[in-house]
Amino acid sequence: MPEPLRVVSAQMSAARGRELRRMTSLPIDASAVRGWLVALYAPLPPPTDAWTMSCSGEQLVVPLDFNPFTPLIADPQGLPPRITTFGEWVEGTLGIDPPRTFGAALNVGMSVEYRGRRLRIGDVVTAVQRLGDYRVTSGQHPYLMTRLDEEWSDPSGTVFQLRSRTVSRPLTPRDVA
Amino acid sequence: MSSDELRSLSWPASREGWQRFALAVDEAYPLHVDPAPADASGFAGPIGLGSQIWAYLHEALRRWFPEHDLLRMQGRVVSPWHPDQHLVVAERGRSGQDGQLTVDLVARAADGPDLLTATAVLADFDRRSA
Repeated sequence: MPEPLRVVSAQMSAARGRELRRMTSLPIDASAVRGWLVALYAPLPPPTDAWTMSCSGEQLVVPLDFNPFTPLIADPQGLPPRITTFGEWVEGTLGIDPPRTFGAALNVGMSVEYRGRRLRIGDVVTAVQRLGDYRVTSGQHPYLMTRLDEEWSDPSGTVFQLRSRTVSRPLTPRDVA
Repeated sequence: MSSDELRSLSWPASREGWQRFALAVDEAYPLHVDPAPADASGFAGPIGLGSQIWAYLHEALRRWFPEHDLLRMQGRVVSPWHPDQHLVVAERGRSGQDGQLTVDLVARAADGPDLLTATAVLADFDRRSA
């Protein structure tokens, strides 16, 4: 009988907490925020209250979950990094052997914590993403769960937003040790 | 709105809308925009973006609780969303303590299953700035 494989290798365990990506946005642009609102409601126009509530006087308030890292970033300069496959993104970036998984990687969980500071037009954000954790689910259809943690900070280094997402990758039962 | 929901917002199914959002957040990956890789992965057509549902939840909270500030939210994807399904975001429950509100939310297909469930914690502005 073949020896069951360890899905989470020692190499993978040791990689928890390691940095995957660091990027700094360009100053947030009002037209990008308006474009984001239009995309959120497309093909309909955003309702009036989305516009009026997103404006405070002359100051456009940036929606909480606005992504300031598109379409270009300041550092590294250019397009934001593209994810090819999830394994290449995580284990490939870390330079470790990827687990043997099958099928598509899917986002299955997300969380966010907002620590008071709200984004404004002109703000610059630095995001640092790290490998959070690996976890294997049990059952007839096991999955490898990979949590990625991300901190958003302002130019003074104050962290004002914590985000995480969990991505599932399907395994076969015989691969689960 | 089903009987276990306090209120809801709906977004119409729209290929244009979902593709536009995918471009806006730089997540126009094959699984989300191209039928062939989605079908090869066992899904019946492209699947919607979790980040788009997440944005709908934020938008619902902003509209329903204008006097409150979102502190944190945690969500779990229950089943994939096919963007040809109308999407409904609903509030399913609420409790309050010490100036904070805990709100249970669901994003579901208008005629189908739950897609994503979430719990949000909000504070009123006065408490937050105190």
